[in-house]
Amino acid sequence: MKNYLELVKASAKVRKKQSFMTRFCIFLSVFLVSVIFGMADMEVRNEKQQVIQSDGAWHVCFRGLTDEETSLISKRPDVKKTASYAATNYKLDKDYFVEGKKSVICGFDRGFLDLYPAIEIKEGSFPEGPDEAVVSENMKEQLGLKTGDKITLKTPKGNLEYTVSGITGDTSMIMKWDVFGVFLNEEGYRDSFLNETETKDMEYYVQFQPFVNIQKSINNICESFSLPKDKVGENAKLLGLMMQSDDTYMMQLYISAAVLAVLVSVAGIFMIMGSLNSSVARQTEFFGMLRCLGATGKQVRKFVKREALNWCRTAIPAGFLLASFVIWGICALLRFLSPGYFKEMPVLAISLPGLLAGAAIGLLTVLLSAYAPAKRASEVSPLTAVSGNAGTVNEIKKPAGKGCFPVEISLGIHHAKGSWKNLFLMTVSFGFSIVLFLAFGTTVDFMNHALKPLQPDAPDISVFGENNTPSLPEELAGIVKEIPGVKIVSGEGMEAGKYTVLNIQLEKKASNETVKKIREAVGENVLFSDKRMSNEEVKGAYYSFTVLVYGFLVVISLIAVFHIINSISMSAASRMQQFGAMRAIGMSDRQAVRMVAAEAATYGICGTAVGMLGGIPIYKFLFEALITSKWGDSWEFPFIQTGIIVAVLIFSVVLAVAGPSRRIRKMSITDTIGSL
Amino acid sequence: MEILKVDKLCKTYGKGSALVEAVKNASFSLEKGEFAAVVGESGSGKSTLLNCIGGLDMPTSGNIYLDGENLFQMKENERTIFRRRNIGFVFQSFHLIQELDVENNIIFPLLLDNKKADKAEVEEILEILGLQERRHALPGQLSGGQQQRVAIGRALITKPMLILADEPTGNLDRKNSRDVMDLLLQASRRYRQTILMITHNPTLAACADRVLEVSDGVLRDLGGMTNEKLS
Repeated sequence: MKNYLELVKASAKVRKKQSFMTRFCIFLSVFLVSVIFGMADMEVRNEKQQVIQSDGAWHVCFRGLTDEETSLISKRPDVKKTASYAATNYKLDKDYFVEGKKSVICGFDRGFLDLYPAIEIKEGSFPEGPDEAVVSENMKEQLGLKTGDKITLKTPKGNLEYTVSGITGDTSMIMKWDVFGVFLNEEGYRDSFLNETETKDMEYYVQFQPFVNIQKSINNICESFSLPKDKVGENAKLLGLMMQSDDTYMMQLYISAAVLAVLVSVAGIFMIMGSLNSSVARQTEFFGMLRCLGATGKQVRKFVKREALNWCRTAIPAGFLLASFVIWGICALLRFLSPGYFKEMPVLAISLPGLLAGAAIGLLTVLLSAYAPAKRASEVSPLTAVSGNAGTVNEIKKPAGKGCFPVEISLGIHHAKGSWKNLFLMTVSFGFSIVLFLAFGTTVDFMNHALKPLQPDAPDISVFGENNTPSLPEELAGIVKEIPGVKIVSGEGMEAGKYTVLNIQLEKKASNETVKKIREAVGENVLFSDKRMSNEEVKGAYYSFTVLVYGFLVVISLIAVFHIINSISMSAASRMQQFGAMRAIGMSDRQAVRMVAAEAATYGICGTAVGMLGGIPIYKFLFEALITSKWGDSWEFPFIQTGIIVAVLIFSVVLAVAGPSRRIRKMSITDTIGSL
Repeated sequence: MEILKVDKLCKTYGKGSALVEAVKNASFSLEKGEFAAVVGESGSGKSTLLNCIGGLDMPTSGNIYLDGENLFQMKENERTIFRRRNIGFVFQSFHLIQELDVENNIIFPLLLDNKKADKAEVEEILEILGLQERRHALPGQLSGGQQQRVAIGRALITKPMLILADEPTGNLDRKNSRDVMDLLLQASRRYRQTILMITHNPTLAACADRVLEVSDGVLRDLGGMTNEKLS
């Protein structure tokens, strides 16, 4: 040994158990924080990709710009890509038909394909001339088209003929309303549709360079061209996800996420602090001895800090590792549950913000929590410390009463009450978890009201009779049922042997081939609504919210459970010698276990009482604010949540007592009392 | 009447080259009311012997009979209950329960047995120990001598047939040591209890009816050291 600080390693070897518990606390906090931040990061990445798919990769769009102005914007250094776009009949309220089916007409330049990756040309090429068009895939399938074929677009002003230059993928809007999409180049659109467009001009879409302050650039452009704000549209979702938005909803969402993360961090800090506090308290004698041998207070503080950092060295990477695995697991689960919605979820990605948050929380808390005990250890008088009177367990001021309980129970309760500071910390942190649990529990009610989960019998495809009349023959249901891939067919609105609507559920393995066959079977004169894509989106939203809400509830419960387990384990470890002496004079191991259980139960019951007293009013308030005000449901006492809390309490007390019981049973009485 | 019988007791620790024979084939017995001292150097195996006799440690071989009952044929739980009813312990570092006051520390073994303490008996013990005034004090508020007296009271409360004392005066000054010894002797006379005490102090050993010496794990019976005043 060359330096007194090397004693840290030697000391850790001797106090393996205790140092393991502290490491475990740090590990757990780092893990939880990393998972929360990491999952948020993954979800943002997924959302961002989703938004780019659904709403496009553009940041802002302007209307009412002249050609000269657009050309000036495209030359700005902060602008990366630009594109022009316009659409007609997007609300399907105008009479544009191709082969009798309603159609949406869009016009854009080639650059728009980059800003809107969803419009992918699967076959053929972008329309070169004004009389060429790219058509949606469903049109190709239903009309049996190929590139080079001609289509006729019926408009209120007459027919227009186009040559099919390419095929693009379907969007959920096209699928759900069973319409065709016709995509023209800018020239073609300007020729025939610009006057039909609501705003009478093309929208000019802009994507900025990375790391540009987008709001500032938008303001700058508006000022340069005297554009009023109503001529500017932002891709609010994307900007929000890039944290570049002024949109209040997005900001609220971020603030809520930050509040939750802070709450979890606080719980983690409590846990690490408690753990360090008790471990250093028990080492006060050791520090006293160091002081006797000539260590200065500063050296002792340095020692404690070094010890704390030493714990971090293994605990933080371990937290990272497990957090990454868990994040991968959750991402995989989400992708499995709702492949459509979470298809952009990264598979084996590492979340840097998650890991940084975890490391920061771990390191900061450890250093902060090490400071107080280090100070105490350095201030303790060497003599009191070595004499064992430094209040290492806790200074006892009041004797334990026998009360109406057996003596071991009274002693257990007294151990819990022994240090008010400890009891306060335990009660508050357990109560805090319960308050969080109840407060966050309102979001479950909110979720069930706001996001209707997809009913198990929700149809994948609905076929409506002509003009919504009972015109679908009963046998049709039987015919459709026979198509491979069809699971259930049910009819609605029966009249004279004919249905108004046929609802069809498909099997998981059903492919587009199945849908094509159903379409052929039901014929032309019906409204065919393919809801698979939009169902998938509803399911995805529900799943992501569910995973978020329940995941958070589980995390809160886990923190409370681990905190109780850890505290009891620490407390029991600090009393092992006392247990040894009690065992020597005749306490049975069962009585010793009951004593530990009584201590654990005291913490649990006090924490639950405080948590319920604080949490129920908050729950009531939030319920009334979020649900009663909107849906009118009246508040009821949360019996289920209370039941869950009590179950978690019992579970954590049982778990907390299990470890110390095992140690008490295995304890060698002679070694334990001999070490005194 | 034979109260304690130690029969060919061996206790070893470790294995192979690290094997330590703490107690080698020790045999002896003690009569009711007998007061025996165990002497020997540090590390000679005295405490190991005492711990085995008290059922705190398991011997490697051999048997211990207390009032005819073989301690090591009992299950762990039975042995614990047997111990709290029949053996009293006095440790060098007192091992009092810091959360309990003097009176509750003394009656603690009874409480573990779910028994109620007889008030008169408690008073009697407190009086013998001279702790009547301090009955509601916590251990932390007592001097070392007072704490050891509480420990003796705790060892006496169940009226055990055997009291094991491991250097009971090791942490005390001369006056307190004498007081504690007097108390132990007084008790053993009054309640006809057998006492086995480890000590380093030859003067204290001289108070005993019999002296056993342990050296390198081997027990030798040095016989009685006549002390007219005490016998």
